[in-house]
Amino acid sequence: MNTPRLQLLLIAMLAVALGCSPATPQKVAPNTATGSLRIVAANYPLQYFARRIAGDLAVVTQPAPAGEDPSDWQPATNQLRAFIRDCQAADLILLNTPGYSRWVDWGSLAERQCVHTTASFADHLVPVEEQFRQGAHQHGTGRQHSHATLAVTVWLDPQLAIRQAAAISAALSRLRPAQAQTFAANLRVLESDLQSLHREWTQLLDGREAMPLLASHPVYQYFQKRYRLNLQSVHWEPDEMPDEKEWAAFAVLLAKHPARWMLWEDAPLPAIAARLRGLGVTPVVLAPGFAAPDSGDYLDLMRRNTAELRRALDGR
Amino acid sequence: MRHRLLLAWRHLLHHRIRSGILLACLTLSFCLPLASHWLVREFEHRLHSRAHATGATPLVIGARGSPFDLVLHTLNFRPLENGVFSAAELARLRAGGLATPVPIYLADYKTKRGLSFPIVGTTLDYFEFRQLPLAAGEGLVLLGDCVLGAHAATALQVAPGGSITPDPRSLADLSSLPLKLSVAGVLAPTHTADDNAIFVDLKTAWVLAGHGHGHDPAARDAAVRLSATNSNASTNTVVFNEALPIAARITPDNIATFHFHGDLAQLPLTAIIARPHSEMDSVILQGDRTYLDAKSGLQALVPAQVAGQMLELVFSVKRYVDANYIVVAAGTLLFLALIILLSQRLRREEMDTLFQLGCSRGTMFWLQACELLIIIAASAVLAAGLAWVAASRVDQLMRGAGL
Repeated sequence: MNTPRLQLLLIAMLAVALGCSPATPQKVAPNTATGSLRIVAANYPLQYFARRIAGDLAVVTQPAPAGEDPSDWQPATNQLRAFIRDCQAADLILLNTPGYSRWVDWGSLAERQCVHTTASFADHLVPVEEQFRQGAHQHGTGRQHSHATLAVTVWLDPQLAIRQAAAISAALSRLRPAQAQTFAANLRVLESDLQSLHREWTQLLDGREAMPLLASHPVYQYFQKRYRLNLQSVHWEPDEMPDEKEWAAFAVLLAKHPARWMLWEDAPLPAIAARLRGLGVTPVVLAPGFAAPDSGDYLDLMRRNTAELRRALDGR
Repeated sequence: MRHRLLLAWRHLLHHRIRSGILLACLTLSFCLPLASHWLVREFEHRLHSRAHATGATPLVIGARGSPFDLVLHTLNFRPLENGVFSAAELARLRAGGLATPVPIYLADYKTKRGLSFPIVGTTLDYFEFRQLPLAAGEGLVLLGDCVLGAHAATALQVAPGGSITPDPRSLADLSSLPLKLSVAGVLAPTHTADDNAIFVDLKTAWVLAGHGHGHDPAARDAAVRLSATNSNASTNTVVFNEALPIAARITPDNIATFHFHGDLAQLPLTAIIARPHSEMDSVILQGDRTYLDAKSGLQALVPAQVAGQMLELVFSVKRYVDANYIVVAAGTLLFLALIILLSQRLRREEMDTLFQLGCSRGTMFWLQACELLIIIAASAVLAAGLAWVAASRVDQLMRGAGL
């Protein structure tokens, strides 16, 4: 066979081979060997931990709009498919407690990309008290929501937060083994910060186990469990004045549980604060940090919480 | 030669009963070894054709029982009778962090036309793991989507954008209700069990099996209004009851109403394909007490090892069968020799007459040889035909065996 014919034949064979090759592969695992990692975090604390551990090696996003509680947030109906497709393209999806992000149950995600940050201590997860585990409800004009069967603010126990961070670091190391040492070093620094927070809270709350405390919302379960607090919750919102029936129930509770401080997710309305003070209860803001704070980062927020607690409890 | 064949043919026709018995004996003698040879070859071929999948599947975790059943049924999507276990094992594997678990929940879908397709509830990991290319459409995105194997799409005559409604009566759980599935994509042919499958998200498979359902938003709103007007009910409580219509299709509008009854960890799985992160993790996982303790009800298997054991068993049986055929073949030859000798005696007068008519001894030999050749050729063709018919039923037989 002469050379031009041979070339023609080779070109034809190549064309046939290319023509016969299958269509674009389905959702092939993202190329994680190089480039920046794409991480979707279920809430702000996980986003913060991931940023601290991955540094510049990852872009970490949190889907809920600023200021909105990610456990209540859900994508708009007409954007749901696009949102799930976007999540499917992420290298990692950092999940909090089971059932925390409802959109996870609505879409198809790969186990490979899901990091169940609380899976290693599932036995330590705290169930939500029965009276708060009701169906969907709403406060005033707020978005309708329901409380999961498991308490969600795991990160308010710094020891558990460290384990969440460790799960993130392990997942990152599996994805980028070459950077495993960097992730481990960053995790150690973060762990040190969280341990320091734990020491501060321990010093502050040690010996106060019997002291009655109140909480405006059932969100401090892990904080209560770690520091063995005598805490009881009601179900109030900072921006919504409780009705007289609720105040009456509160008075009954206060008689049985004579607390001098009440923990709030955010500063309550001045009218609520004044009425509480009238009953001898001082509101103390201990922000769980579901969403990114207006200023500073997660640790700054927790330090502000510590300062607020210290000021209230020590009278400083 | 043509005349000899014609004479031989006429002779065989004249002695129809004798020729028929001879034909039947030889046909059966040829057919049985041929059919069993094809059967074993098909079995071997099927095992080898899944060898890639078998070899590439590091670990299969499932209910304790026959290892062969678990591996074959998992890799070939045959639901296991009473072979399910709770999804708590999935959570345990996640917590262990030694492997990426790929859950599999299987149900059988039989169409009204009698076609059967396995419904495979899994996660996106399965598609990545098997590197399944899409021929059309896209992969699973939302609850209620399905992706069809190439053969399933052709047989069901649907394309992306279309829909199928698996009949719940064909599924294991009779309490399930019809749920329309949206066909999101169709896979390219792979010539494996994947071609015949209807892939859905694990949660969709649970909904299909009746472990969860949703409500139409309009009906739910009516329930909310009902509860709000009920003076005895708390305004914070939404009353659901069996009268609330169940959604027949999952759409972005009603997806939020879909829920499962009970703990997700208690819902059933048929198997988990575990992909250990390292060789060490694989060894640790295989040595896990849960899989070694008979009381736990679970086992972890290496499919390549199980397939190897199965082939070993098949080949040892085949050796016995082959030895049996040698004996049968020897018997058949002796039987043929006896027939030839007896027919020589019976046909002595006939041969003498032919000789006196001027027929040579050689011609007489060839006449008898032609008769034998015709009988042997006809029985060989018949045996091949019968074996082919048997082989065409092999597919059904093999699928029944989970292959």
